[in-house]
Amino acid sequence: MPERSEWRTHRDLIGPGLLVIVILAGGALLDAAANELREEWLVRAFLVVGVLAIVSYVMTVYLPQRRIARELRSLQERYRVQCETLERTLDELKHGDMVAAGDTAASLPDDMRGAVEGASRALAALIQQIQSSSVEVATAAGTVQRTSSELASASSQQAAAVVEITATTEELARTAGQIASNAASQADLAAHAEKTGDTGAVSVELAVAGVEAVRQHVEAIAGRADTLGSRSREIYRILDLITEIAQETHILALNAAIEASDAGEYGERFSVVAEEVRRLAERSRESVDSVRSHIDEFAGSIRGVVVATEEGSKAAQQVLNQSRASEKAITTLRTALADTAQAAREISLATQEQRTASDQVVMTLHDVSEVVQRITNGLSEYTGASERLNHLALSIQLLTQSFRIESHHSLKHQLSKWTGRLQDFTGNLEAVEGLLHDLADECPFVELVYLVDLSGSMISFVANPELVENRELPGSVAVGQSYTDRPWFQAVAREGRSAVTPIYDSLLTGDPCFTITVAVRNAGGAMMGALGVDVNLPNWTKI
Amino acid sequence: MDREENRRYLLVRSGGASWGLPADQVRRVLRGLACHPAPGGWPHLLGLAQYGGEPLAVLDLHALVSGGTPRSNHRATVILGRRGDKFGAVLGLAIDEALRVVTLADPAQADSAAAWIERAVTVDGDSVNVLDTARLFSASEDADA
Repeated sequence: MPERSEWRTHRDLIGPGLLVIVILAGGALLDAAANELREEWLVRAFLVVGVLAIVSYVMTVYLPQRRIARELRSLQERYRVQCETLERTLDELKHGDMVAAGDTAASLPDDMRGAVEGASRALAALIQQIQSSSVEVATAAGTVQRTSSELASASSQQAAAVVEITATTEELARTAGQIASNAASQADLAAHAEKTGDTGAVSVELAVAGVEAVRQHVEAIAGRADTLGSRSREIYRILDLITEIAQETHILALNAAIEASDAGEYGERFSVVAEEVRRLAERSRESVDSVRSHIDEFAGSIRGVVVATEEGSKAAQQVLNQSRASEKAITTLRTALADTAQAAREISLATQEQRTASDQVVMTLHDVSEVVQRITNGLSEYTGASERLNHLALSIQLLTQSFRIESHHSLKHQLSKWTGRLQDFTGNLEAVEGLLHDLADECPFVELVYLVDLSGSMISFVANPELVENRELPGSVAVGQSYTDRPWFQAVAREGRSAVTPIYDSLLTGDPCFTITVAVRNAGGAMMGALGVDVNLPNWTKI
Repeated sequence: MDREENRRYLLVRSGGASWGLPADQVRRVLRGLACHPAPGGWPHLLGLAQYGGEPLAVLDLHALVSGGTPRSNHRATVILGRRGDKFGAVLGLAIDEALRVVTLADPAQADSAAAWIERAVTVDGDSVNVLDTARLFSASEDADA
């Protein structure tokens, strides 16, 4: 079966061939007619015309047509190449690689290249804007989430405080009621005590009067006793005088007896008289002594009475003073009780008002508690919405990271640039590790960066110490470990394109993360391995 | 056989003891005789008093017989003089109390060997020492000499 181009060439010869056939057929017919007419010039003219027609056809139709056909085939080839270039460009665009699309579109015509580059730039700008917007949304969502969490926590504490205040106010209201009741009872007691105080004051006044009378009686007794003492002293003086007289009489009687003795028998009778006189004097003295003894007892009794009456008078005075003090105290107490009763009534009224106010406060606090609870619930919903917004922003970020644009926020582009540096260190593991360290230092959101070869075996890796801290590395993170079963490696190895994984929990930090992998190519463009980074989601906004 | 002769005595009390003074030698019994202390002299000399316009030496009977210090709280003074000599020298004896005049049997001889005590008798159950006034006057005269 001939090729399509050969068929076109043959088709182009059909027209001239048919024309020659027509001319030859016409010449033959004309020759036959001329033979019948014997007009040869006519045949010759016909042949000349025919030859001229053929030559003019060739010159004016066939040759230009062939030239046009050649130009058309060249145009068709360029068109095919451009279509292929455009197809690759669109394929790069389809895979989100704006940089590669731009590079591919460089060979397109200016208009097409301009259109592709314009579309790429517009798309890249849009992606970049979406990217930055997602970061801003995530940052704002994080701020809103933190703020709403803090507000929710604060409102929860406030709700708890309101509950406590409500309980305290209710307790205060109950206490106020008890105080009002107690104050009323206190007022009644004070009023009763005031009445009792009145009775007591009357009793004390009577007691004071009685004690005053007793004191006056005691003083009268003391006066009588003093009088008796004075009389006793007079009696003593009289007794002393009688004693003196008796002693003098005794001495006189003795001297008389002595004189009678000197008188001998003549003095016998006188001595008897003197003896009688002496005995009288002695009896007088004995009587005086007896009287003195009685008087001593009497005087002692009087002194006892005087002392007793003085003590009684002092005691009565003390009782009187105490009674008067008691009277003053009772008067003061009555006044105080009256004031207390008044104060208790005022306290009772005030506490009743306080209880009413406290009840109103409790009702208000219940309303406040409900409002605070609603605010807390609203803030919780706000927090949830913020979390969802954060996830949405992250999803947008992941979507935008699936594109490669010329931006330092495009991880694929950044990693592609790092892969360009990696191809210079083939076989130099220390240089590769140093480069991975530089990458980890430059990208604080990366918790692990690693390089695997075409067979999926780990060549080198570096963990970000600020994120990993002192955690022990899992067994899957080790040099020589095979990653052929990982989707990101399969995606890179299958198509040679960069890949972004869905979000998963990191075995290294426990935080959610995602992985971006790009192919590492040598200078000839052959794929040598893959460079991957695990992006720590709590820090993804640092991208 | 000697017949006992009754004799009257003035019973006095001094220093808790009862004494009998011969009534015929007692000139007077005085109360509250003012006595002024005299320096020197007998240790039992209470002092000097004025009696009948003359100075009178007053002895403390208790200090005399016991040898103690004269006391000034006596309440009576007995003026003694020699028997039969109404106007002779007199001597004062400070006593606590003059009791009464009694009649005692006067023995022929003194039977006491104690100083200043002529004899001891019992009057109404109480022991009474009879003062040896003769010795008292002799001692007084010896002192005056």
